[in-house]
Amino acid sequence: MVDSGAETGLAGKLEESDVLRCLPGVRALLLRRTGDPELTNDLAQEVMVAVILAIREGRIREPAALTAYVLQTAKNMLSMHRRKMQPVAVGELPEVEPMWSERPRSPLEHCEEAQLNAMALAVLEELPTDRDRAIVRGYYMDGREKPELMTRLGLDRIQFDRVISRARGRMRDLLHKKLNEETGSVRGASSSGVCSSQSQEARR
Amino acid sequence: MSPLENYLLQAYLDGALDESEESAFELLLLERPDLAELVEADCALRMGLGGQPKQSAGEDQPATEAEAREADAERLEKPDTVVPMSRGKRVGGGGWLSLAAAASVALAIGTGAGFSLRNEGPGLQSAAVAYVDQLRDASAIVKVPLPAEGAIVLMVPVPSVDPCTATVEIRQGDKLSLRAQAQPDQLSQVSLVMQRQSVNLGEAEVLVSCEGRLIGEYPLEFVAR
Repeated sequence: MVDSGAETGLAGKLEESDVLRCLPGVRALLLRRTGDPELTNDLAQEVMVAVILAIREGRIREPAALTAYVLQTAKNMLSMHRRKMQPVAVGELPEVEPMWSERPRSPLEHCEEAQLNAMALAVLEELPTDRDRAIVRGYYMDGREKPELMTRLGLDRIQFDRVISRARGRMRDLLHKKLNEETGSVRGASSSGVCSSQSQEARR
Repeated sequence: MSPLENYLLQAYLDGALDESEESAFELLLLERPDLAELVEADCALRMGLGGQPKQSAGEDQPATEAEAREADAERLEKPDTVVPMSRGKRVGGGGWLSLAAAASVALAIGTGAGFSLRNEGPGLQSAAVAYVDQLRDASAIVKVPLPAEGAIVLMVPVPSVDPCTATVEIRQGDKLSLRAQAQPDQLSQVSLVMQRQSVNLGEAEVLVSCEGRLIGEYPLEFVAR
């Protein structure tokens, strides 16, 4: 396990491995903004490297400051990507590689496009009524605005949100199942205390 | 998950939160993997069904190219005003390095829109972008490549979570000091314009302060591109 911040004592109370706790959230917000799992993964790794550097150099010392710093870093990385800018200087952090390889995994990392498509269609088919399917199709597939769909289908916000929330929760369950199948097959190959505990925490 | 969290999650995914609310919710996301999973599931459902990602509330892009043109035209019509570049959708397919204006001022002031140049003529002028990248290697002296001549857009991060009007100063030895005040954009960057001849190759220092408090200090070296 690599935890040079704790070893050197440079990071104070904050440890480099603490960054991993934020990783599911970083991925989520990047994915929402990009809609691209591969880009999300690349940017999330960039964010992690940048924050680890900041901890190592003492720019963040207090655990309470971590999330705000991580959020700003994620926004900056996204901004740099959108502006098609390459970093001028790249910090070398080879020791981050093992930590990254044992990060809490996202189910999307294990899903091919066809699998994701099959899962989404399964969610759609499981919905109990035609109206519910129309909501999910309209919202996710056709990209229609919520007020428009509510008016067209004669629903109030609570009814609408309940259907969307149910579909989303079911999709999460299917993604979990997929992740458990994948990680179950490789579990044992990686036994880092920090990262596996983070991973469990992320799945709770 | 509480009903309030569920409500906020839905509003976040609908793009119904304003920028500050969205940031507050994203802080919560970083603390709460269970919420992050639901955001991911929402995106996965959209991707699985072939939909496009929803626009983030923080990305204040014009909805159509016509709107973008109109907005840019309005800005250009104002005399002696700053001319922000369109950051999102490009009008007429022009790259964002094509800047509308001749930047004769030594250091122009960025606006909330992030990019600005004083409009002093009808033509377009290309500009090189130089980025003060403190995120990747803060301890080292960052090398910033500069062209031999022309306008340069220097992008400087403002490491502050709280909103502030940032004062950015570029120092080179005892003789040179350029200074400007600018509002960071929503991604905490200020973009400043200077002419290449305003700075010399060699070591320099970029200082960023908010309300008199120094919040960023970036040693760098301007090198020939």
